Parts: sequence; C-alpha cells; structure tokens
Amino acid sequence: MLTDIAAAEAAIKTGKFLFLAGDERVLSRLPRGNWIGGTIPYFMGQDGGVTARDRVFVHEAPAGTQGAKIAVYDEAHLSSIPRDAPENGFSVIIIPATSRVHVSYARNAPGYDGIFLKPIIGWIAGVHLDDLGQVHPKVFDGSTGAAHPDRAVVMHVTLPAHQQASIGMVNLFKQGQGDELAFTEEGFLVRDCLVNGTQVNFAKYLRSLGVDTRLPLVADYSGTRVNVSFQSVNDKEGTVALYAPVFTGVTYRVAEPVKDYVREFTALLPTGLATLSFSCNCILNFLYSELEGKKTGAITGPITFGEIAYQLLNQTMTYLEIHDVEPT
Amino acid sequence: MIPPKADERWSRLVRGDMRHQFRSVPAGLMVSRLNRSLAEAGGHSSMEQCVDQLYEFFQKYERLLKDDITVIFR
Repeated sequence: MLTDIAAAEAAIKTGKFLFLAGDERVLSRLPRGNWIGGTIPYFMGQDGGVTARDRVFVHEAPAGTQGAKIAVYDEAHLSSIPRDAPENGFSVIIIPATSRVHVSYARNAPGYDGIFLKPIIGWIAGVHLDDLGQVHPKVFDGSTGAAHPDRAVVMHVTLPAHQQASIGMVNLFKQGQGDELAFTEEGFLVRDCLVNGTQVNFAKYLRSLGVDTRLPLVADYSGTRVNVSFQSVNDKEGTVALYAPVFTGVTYRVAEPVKDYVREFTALLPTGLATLSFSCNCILNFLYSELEGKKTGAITGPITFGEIAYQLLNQTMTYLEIHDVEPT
Repeated sequence: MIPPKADERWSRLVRGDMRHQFRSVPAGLMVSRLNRSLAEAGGHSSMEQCVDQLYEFFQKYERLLKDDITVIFR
C-alpha cells in the first residue's frame, strides 16, 4: 500500500516484516526495524500510477510468517542467496541499479546453484529520472539503518508448512513475427548479432528496419517470456546498450507492439490469485504506456528499474503469491 | 503424482526433446536453462544432474504444478 511517512513508521513499529520503496530522503528517516527497502519515487498506488518523493510503498510479509532474516550481499557472495533462502518460504531481493551487484546478478543468477528451487523475487532500485547520473540508487537494511549503493539486500522469509510461495508474472510482450536474433557474446552491450544465422552489426540492423526500441527483445523460456529492453543505440560506435544481458544459446525476437497497455494488462491478469505479498512493475511500462494516473487492475507496488523473478527481467510485472496447501 | 526419475519423460524434458510451454514461471526458466546447459556440456553425467534438479523441483512444488504435471505426464 502507498502511504505517507507516518503510516510507514507505524507499520514498522508493529514489528511486521516489511518490504519498502521510496525516495532516499524518506527511507533514511524511517526508524530501524524488520524492513528492507530500495530507492524509487515511482509507484502504482491504490489510486493509480504516481510520482512522489514523499511517500512510501509498504508490502508486508504474509500473515503466518514464521520468521525472517535480513542479509546484505556484496558481489562475491551473491551466489549464496539460494543457499541462504529458507527451505519453505521466499526471498525478496533489492539491488541498486547500475551497481556491480546489478550487473553481476543479471549475468550470473540463472547459473547459481539451486536458483530455481526457492522463490526469489525483487527489483532494481532507481532514482527520479531528473536525478539520473547525479544520485546513486540505494538499498536499505532497516535493521541497521544502513544504506548501500553497491550491495544487494535480501529478506529471507520462512513460511509455515501449510503455505507455499510462488512467483508469477504478467508480460504483455510476445515475440513478433520478425527475424530470429541470437548472440555470440553475453552482456548488456552488444555489437554484433546473428540475424537468422547471419552475423550483422546489431545497431545497423535495428536502424535499417526502423525497429521501435520501446519494444523489447523477447525470448521464450519454455513458456516463460523473458524481455530484454533497449537502453540506447549508438550509431557512431555501432553498439546497442540493453537494460538486461542477452545470453548465448537463446533465440530472441523483437516484440509485437502493444496497443493499449492498461486494457491488455487487465485482460491478462490471472483470475483467482491467492494472497499477493509483493508485486512490482517496470519503469519502461510506466513511461511508454503513460501509466501515471492509470490503474493496472488491483495490482500495486513500486515502479522499478528492473524486476527480478529468480533472474533479472525487463518490462514485466511480477508478483508473489502465497498459497494454502496441504502439508506433505 | 509425478513419475519416478527413471521415466524417460524427465530426460526428454531436460534434453529439449519434449517441448512444453510451462504455466509455472520457474519451471519454464529452469527447463530452458537445463536445455542450454546440457547442450553446452553434453555427457551422461550432466544429464543425470539435470534430471535430478528437475525432479527435485517438481517434487518440492508438486502441489503448485498440477496444470503442468497433468499435461506432461498424462
């Protein structure tokens, strides 16, 4: 829920385990407690999309949570996140944009031992777009009050045996009918790509076809569509900067256009969702689809510089569901 | 109920011979990752490791994977 500072302080004082999002000046004023947070001034609130430097988005761990641990990870220890996660529960991770941990997690998380065996959801912290390049995104460990521009903060939440967590996503983008694109090098900065098997300069290719770079590249991971969004095309250098890395051995296509984000999003929202404990959506969806003042169903949360559902995603709404299940 | 690890559908899934569009996000990500890592590494022991990982995942989340299990193992 999007709240003012007083309500966020009150929530912290209850001792509940919280995942917060807000401007740095707001988060740094909050009392210590059982919370983690990340900087961002963009939200999908109860009344629609909004930009606010004086508000806090508060997600609560589900009722029945058996306990939670906050951990801060530097680049060298990111791979231990799945091992540190509880056997039954979930982990919420927040990473500052453009930091070394951001780059490292994006490139390496799919290969961490056990990464898909425990639900790991989260987001990339950012800043107001007016502050890009001047202010560093940060994550907060609420238990100490420490802010980190170069660490990931994680809350590992343990659930009781009668509950299980699962991660879902709403991705409006589908692979278009265009060329098959593949890459021989992994990373956020691309020079060449294979277009239907033929190597070409990717920047020239995009320009020659007049590709709308607001549309992401989409890969089909056995039914899970994973986007890689365009950051910029540098014609002089012949390079293309991306908001997530491309991987070798994966086939990408430029997405089909989305005509009406809100209408199509609402149509795609799964019905009968269990309790949602966390959700977030992408700043690029917020900007390109002009979501300020518009609602995306009942789904609320921070608007982020990247989403995490096990691995880094772009232009995707992700959510965490808590299911009541029969104990085994 | 998932079949035992020896059932050939597990190895067909991790090899990519059985194409299934998963409803479960982590299942899709995981199977796709296993397909790629097996294609890169090759070898029988890698296949066993991949099947072990996938089986462990299905065993743990069987209650949440009913839709996918019904289609894959019908």
